[in-house]
Amino acid sequence: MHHDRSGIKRSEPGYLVATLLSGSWRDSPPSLFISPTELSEIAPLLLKTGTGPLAWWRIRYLDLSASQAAFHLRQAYRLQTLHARLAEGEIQDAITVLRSAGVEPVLAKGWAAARLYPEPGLRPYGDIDLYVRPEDYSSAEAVLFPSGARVRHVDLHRGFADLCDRSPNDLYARSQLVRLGDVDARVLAPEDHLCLLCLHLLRHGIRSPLWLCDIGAALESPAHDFDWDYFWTGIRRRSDWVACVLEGSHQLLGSKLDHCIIPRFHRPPRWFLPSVLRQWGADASPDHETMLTHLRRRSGILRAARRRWPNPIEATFRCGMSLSRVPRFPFQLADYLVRGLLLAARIVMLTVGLPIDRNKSCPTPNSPLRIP
Amino acid sequence: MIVPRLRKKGLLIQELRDEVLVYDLERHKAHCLNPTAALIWRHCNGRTTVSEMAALLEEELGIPADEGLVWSALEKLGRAHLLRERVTRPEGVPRQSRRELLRKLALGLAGGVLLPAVTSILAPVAASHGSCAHVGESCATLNCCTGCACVATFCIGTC
Repeated sequence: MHHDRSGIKRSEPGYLVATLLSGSWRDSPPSLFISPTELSEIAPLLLKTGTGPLAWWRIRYLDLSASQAAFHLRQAYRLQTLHARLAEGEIQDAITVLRSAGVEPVLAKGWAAARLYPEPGLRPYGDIDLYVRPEDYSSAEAVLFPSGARVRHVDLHRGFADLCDRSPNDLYARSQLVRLGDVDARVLAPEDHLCLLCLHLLRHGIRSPLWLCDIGAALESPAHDFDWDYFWTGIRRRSDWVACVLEGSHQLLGSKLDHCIIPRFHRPPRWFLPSVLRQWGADASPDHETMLTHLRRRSGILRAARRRWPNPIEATFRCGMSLSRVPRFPFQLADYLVRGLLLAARIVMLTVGLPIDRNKSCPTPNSPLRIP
Repeated sequence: MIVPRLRKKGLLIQELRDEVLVYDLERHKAHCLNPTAALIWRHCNGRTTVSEMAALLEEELGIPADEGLVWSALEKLGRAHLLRERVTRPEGVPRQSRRELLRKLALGLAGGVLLPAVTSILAPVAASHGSCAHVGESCATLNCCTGCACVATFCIGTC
């Protein structure tokens, strides 16, 4: 594995996670050298990030596969495999319901990413990400959640916020139909899907190694007519972000990347890869409760506030800045303070009974921060 | 003559390379059948007798034909609610321990993997003390966190 190892030792958990997951999305992953002790150490991290099945896939023919840690990884693989079958039924159901109302959805992330892996159970997904044209959103919401309650595991997206430099009509025109059970599901063109995956993981600060595995799987999936010229069109700073992600996927997880396809070679800054590895090695689960909930309950506020300190990558993305050598602390601080102010504004608006607009705006380099 | 029948209603079946996974949609339980158990289960078609199943084990998996082995599998399948009706071992077929079976069939210790196995797939116990179960944890006592789904009390997702 080639990466900038400054400050990161081979024995550190994040490094071990990257080692184990390198090439794990392939039908025949590369050989691996990791001790049973090291596997035991990182197994909980793998399970928490949903990469347990991929880890099992990587070690399944090794002596390691008989270890206790491997047993838990294999259990996760089995359960995720079953869930993938169940979820396919839900996806078909949601697509059928939407089409009956005249709404054509695009399926992205989740199943659309999982289909590029050797087996569906290797790549987990909880929610089903369905994108619809902005003008169809209300109709889609009405048929999917008729009583207003969220009864399906569907995350409905109004338009394509992360790909806002491409019109929905263009994205639909380029989309493809792929077979999913008894229906033909519409997915983004490979170029658009790869771009979406890159931006999605940047938005979340590459917290999960699974998302970088998605990049590897997408890069190595056979799309002979992948249009790299089209892929690199759009907002220049966004292209730089994406180039950094592709290079990061190559350096951290060994994904095959032909560097001549990157028009402006963008080597990630020195802080980038160690930052990712440190995150992967941190045993921190996301806080699923909103700050408002903590404030209402008046408990765990300080801890919740600390957990919301942004990592350098998500701060950079949210501030719309470039991934350069400039220290990230100012951006992290700015992001944290602005989000704090926005939270305060929300509290005021809720208190006086004003509606809050959660309309997502495009993360362009110069756009203001969005309400989380 | 006893001809067992497998249950299909309310089951989700997924064949993998070296095992069969079964999810009971009614009981929300997941089971794993090794090749021996899977072979026997597949032939619980209401027509194949126990002695025929034993012969099939020898023919397809190279395991010595032994009805005791088949009965052991049928009992495990019955306990997991994977048969339409649970079958009762006849009086003339004694119960044998795993060790006795291995010795009888001259399979050796390594042959243990050939004995029929129907294992319940259990989710790991939740390690977090939060208000919801995170990815990779059991949601037996907590709801799954937002963005997660669950199967057999195991939280799945990328939340």
